[in-house]
Amino acid sequence: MTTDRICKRRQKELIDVFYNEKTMNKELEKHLENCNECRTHWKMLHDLKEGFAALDIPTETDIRIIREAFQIVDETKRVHRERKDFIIFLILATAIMVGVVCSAILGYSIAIIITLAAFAVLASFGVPVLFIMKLKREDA
Amino acid sequence: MADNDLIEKAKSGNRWALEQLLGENYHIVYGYLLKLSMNEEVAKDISQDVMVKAITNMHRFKGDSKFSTWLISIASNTYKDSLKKNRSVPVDMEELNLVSSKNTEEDVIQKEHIRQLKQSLSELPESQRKVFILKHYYNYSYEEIAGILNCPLGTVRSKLHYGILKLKNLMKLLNGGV
Repeated sequence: MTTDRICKRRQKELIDVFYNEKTMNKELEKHLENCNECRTHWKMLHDLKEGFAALDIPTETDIRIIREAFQIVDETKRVHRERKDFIIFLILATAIMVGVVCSAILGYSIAIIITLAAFAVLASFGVPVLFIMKLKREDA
Repeated sequence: MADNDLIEKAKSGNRWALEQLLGENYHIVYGYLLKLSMNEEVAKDISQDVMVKAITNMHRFKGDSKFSTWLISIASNTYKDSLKKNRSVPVDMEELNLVSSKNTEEDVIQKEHIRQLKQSLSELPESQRKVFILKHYYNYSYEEIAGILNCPLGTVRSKLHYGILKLKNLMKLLNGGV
């Protein structure tokens, strides 16, 4: 192996040692003592650490950003929930409409009218009750 | 309260615990993104995206790494995605408030030094910059970095080596040594 290749390998090992991935062994230590180029490389690593320390700025926690992140997640969840509710409503409404139309075609018009009337009576009582319950749940 | 307790509580849906955890680790995420993007606005925006992703995916955190490591991993991916979306993040050489506002000679020298550091760091390819920052500033092991960046350990090692050699040459070019 040529001296140049040995030094390149040693310099890679020195980076590993510098960043605590390896421990300095006798062989490497001896090479470092006798090789100017590798000593310069070793010094450069220390200089690099010292130089780049200037970019290690202490940063503070911005609680506002964290709170906003929670708000974004809440809003996204709300939109998803509303979309899901709307899809369920759409499916149910379509199923009811299909049922009504099919029944009418099959000659059950009177039964449909009675069912719809019963539904209207139930809804006129049920919807306000459900609305109040929902408001109470939101308050809680 | 110990981090493990907070993590367990946060995973089970405790909002206060999650807010505490994110508050404790925010500066790590922001500092990492600031060094990566070298732009305060971009770092803040991506930090918020990271927080949103962490809140949404908290239940997926397995606990096989530190919470901060998990956040850094999310930050790395989010930064990568933002680069794809915006093609490049503008590096603001003057923006970071690192030195006092008094325009003394020392401050001017320091500002110039920082400008050179930022310029040389921004010259590194994104993947080498990430590895360098994670190793140099956060002292993560090669194995941890490989986990964070989802790449082989050998790749991490070689990226660090090439990154350092490139920085060495860049710094030499800029001012004849660090």
